[in-house]
Amino acid sequence: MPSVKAIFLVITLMILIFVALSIRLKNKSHWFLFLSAFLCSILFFISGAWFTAIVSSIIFGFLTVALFFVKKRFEIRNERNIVETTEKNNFKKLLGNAFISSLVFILSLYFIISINFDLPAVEDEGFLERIGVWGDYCLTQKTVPFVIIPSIFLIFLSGIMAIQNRKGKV
Amino acid sequence: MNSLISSEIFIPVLCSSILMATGMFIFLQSKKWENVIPASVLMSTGTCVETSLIIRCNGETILADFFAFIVLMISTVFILIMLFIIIEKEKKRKEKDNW
Repeated sequence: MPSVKAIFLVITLMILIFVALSIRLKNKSHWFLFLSAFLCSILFFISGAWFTAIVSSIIFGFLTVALFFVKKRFEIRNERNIVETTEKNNFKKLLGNAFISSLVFILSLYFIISINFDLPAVEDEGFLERIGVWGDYCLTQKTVPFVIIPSIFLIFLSGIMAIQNRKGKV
Repeated sequence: MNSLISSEIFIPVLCSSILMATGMFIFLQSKKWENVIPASVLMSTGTCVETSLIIRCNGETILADFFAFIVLMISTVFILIMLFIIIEKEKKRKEKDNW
């Protein structure tokens, strides 16, 4: 029986390959996206979130179908966009985006290192009480606000930048 | 720090962080609206799995599922808002072209 580490590594690699293929191969993109979404649901199962795995498979399935139908609708416009986008794509933007992505990567790891193995054990309490204790813990910890707030800020920043990129202003 | 690196969950956490960062990179780099969905799937999976792993390693399996579900819902709302904005823009562009 392979270990959890090996399963995680293999599935992550497969997801990355399928996503790359779904971006690269325009005609079959929804199929590769479907496969990667299926693997994502398996990751949920392995990480112990069973209910989330079921819900995520429904949501990701819905998104895949939505992509298929919406893509069909805007097919002509899309072909025209390819020329416009490749012209604007330059090295400076690539570096900036890589910097933000790596910052997110480092922050997410730091988030784990900061709060991992320190959470208070709440035994013999109800479900809502345990959530309350954990919520209090997260708010009172000094490291967590310094990590969560920049993470949320980065996600919003990336969203704004992505919209600006589409406008061609950045 | 050492205990984390030597622990069982370090590689899974690393994998989910890689997924999250790759999703973010695709989201930022690609200007085509259809790539928003794969990028968002990667980002939400990375975040949810990471949340689930952190809480699960403390022995809270039910809470792990609960928090992962909340994170998934937030990211789904984010994806839908982004999709709505992009589709609306595509519609406007199409109308402009037709005009």
